[in-house]
Amino acid sequence: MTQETTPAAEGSNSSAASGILQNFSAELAGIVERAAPSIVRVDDGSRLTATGILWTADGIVATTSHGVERDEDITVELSDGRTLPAMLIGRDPDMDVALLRVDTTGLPAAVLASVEGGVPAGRIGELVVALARPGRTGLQASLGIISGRLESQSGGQPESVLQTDATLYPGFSGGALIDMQGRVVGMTNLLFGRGKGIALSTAIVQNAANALLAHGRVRRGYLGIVTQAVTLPAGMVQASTLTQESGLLIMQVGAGSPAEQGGLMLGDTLLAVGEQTVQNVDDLRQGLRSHGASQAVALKLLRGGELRLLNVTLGVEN
Amino acid sequence: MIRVLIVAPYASLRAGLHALAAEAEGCTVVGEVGGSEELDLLLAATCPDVLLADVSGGTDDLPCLIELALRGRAGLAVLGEGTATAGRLASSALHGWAYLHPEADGDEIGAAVRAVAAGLVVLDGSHAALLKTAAATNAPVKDSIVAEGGDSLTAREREVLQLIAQGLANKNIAARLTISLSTVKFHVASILAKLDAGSRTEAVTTGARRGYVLL
Repeated sequence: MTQETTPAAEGSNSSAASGILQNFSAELAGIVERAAPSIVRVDDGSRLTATGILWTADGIVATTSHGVERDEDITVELSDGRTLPAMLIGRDPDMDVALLRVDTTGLPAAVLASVEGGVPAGRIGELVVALARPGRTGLQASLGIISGRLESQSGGQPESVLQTDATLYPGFSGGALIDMQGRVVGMTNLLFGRGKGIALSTAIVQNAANALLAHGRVRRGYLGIVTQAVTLPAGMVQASTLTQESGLLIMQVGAGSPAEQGGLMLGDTLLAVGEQTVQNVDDLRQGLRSHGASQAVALKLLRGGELRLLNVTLGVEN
Repeated sequence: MIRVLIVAPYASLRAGLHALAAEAEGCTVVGEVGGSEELDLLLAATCPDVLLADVSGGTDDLPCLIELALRGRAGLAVLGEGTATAGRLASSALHGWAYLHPEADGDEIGAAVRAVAAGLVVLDGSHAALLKTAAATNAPVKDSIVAEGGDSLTAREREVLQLIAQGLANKNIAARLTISLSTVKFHVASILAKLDAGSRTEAVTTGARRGYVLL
């Protein structure tokens, strides 16, 4: 079936479409204008500057750890042009988050998206704008959608890494990914993305910020081992219920460490931390990240060719 | 005039370089230091355009010199041997750098300093040949550093990396290990260079994979 339209109707439709686009454009510009004051420029004295987000009105700024590699003479330039010295509260190199403090109050803090129904904000397909203050160019914005999500946990808390097709330019690290309500759903990161648009969900940054404010560091589960990835003997994999081809051979057990206290021994091959299968060091880090310090966790390992389960209470590295 | 600051571990080397640089056209020597720790103290006061450094006795100090040159927005002209040094200079963010043979004469040094001050890269003939050999054998310069054993961390560097993994700031690492802030910066720069990492996050990830970090 075809639908006929008169020239007058076409003109009306075209005009309506144009109106929708103009409204959308004006609404988008308004969202950016409202969020812009909370986006700051972070300068650690190196060649490239980074961006930061005013996390609270009393001077807490969230940015990337790699944006403040030099942590003695950091400055933050606010949207009103003021440049303030900033102190590093702490950093989480694991998630590439750093928290700064500037000595002033009454700042235009960002509106942060919260975890809703146990899930961090930011649905796939949702329109988002990446906002940053790179170099001396002032505010820059880039439009896209949330194109993917990677769910994880840290200390039992839900976390997500968001992927966006919004273009992230040099200096966008530490910038905000905002939704169409003007809420910060993530902090953009060029290091993790290596060309792709990656943003740590607000939940990740908030969890890191809470820990850094409370302890000056993020205290994740710690075993106290050094490992080496090894391929498991094929016969052993076939003869057992193992679904993995490699594990982590324990090369060192720290003296007095949670691993030693839990009975782990040199030469054990670690296969899983809780529900997390461990085939390489990155898997182990992810497994430890998902558990908090002082949390008991079941470790699956091979010892003398036999499968074993050990319950170990994770600690904090001192 | 191009402001040149001499860096060399021995007084005799410094005197020689001082004389050559002072005679070079368009150059004036603004100071001499024995290494990166002294340089850290003198950098802001002297505002050099080019650091002229002799690392022929060892390249341990090179990452820190590169770091300080970047901080002082100065170029770096290095006298030394081996592809590892060239690799480190090439992979740095230095605007201008030169890599000369330790036997370079006054004319060569003067020309190199002027080129570095102009933001150019200078390699003398013998070093260029080394790089060509590396390219011909399909061995990237950065891999040459690894092949020379430059990637193994010292015990102190492992301690520093473990504290970096905990997220400690440089001053906290200095306090924990009771060493100076400059020494911490030196170790951090060396760790990043050895692990070919552009940031602490990368260094921790690579260090964990190589078994340098207790997890």
